[in-house]
Amino acid sequence: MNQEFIQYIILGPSSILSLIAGIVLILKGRRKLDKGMVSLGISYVLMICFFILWDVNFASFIINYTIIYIVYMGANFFTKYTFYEKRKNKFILISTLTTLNYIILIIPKFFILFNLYVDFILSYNGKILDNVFSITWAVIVFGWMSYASLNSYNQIKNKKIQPWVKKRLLIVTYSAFFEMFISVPDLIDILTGRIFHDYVFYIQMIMIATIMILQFLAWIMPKWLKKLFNHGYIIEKEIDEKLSEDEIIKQLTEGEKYK
Amino acid sequence: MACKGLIRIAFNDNGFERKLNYDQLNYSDTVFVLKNGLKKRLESIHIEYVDETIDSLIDIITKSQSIFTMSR
Repeated sequence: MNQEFIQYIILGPSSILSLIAGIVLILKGRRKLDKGMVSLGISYVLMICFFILWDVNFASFIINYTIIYIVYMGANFFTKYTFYEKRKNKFILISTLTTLNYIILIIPKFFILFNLYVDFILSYNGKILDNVFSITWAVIVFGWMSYASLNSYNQIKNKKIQPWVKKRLLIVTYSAFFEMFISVPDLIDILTGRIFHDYVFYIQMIMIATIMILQFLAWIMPKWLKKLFNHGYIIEKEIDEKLSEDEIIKQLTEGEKYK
Repeated sequence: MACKGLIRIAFNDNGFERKLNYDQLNYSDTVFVLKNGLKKRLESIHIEYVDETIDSLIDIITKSQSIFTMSR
């Protein structure tokens, strides 16, 4: 089987799952007025656009990097709105670093367009530099996301919250963690003189597919999976819903005596 | 139980249904209800340290705010 075929087999279905997750996030986010969900949904949909353009070699590197930049900024907005609203956060710093990294990566592409420094940019060292900045780009964005979601998980892990909600937070943490290293196989490929190119290719495909499946499972969690995560958890009947206002006030003011 | 009930009443005072779910709420609305609705309710039954209680609740909600998105 050639690589292109395997690429379609692996990336095709997982891209569809990711696209569905993106569309659902946008629609749900708009309905619930959740800016974080909308930005993440836009990121997912644009990521699929990137794969389509990348795969058909339709767009230039400049368009591709610009799409990725928007994807990463969407991820930054998701982290800010979901974990740090009205709270001290590093959004400005992370966004500045994301933008700087984008500029550093995009400038050589313009140079190539104008036939400047082409030898160095396409040299071994030039490619390594390009990959190192691609890795730091992802590490900045998804490192912040996975740190924020893991912190948030630690805040709620012992609280009486349905386990599937906690698991969703963990899945978001894992997928962000994997995304940090998405460009690492490319660097290994260059450093090893492309001797292990086939293996590196398969590893990267598996990484991308895993991330997309995790994203789908996190946001379009099937009922059976929610049930599985909730196994053994007793959803308390909300007795307080049935109490009248007077009964509640009486209980609060008279305390134990009322019981 | 009564504390939960009072929080529900506070939400009800501010136009929310009494049968609340996390996925129907968002961070800003929740903080608004705690600062206004719940505060008034606690003051009306002469509970001590109302401001401290509200601040502490807001602090908990702020640190766990992702639950609003995660439970949708």
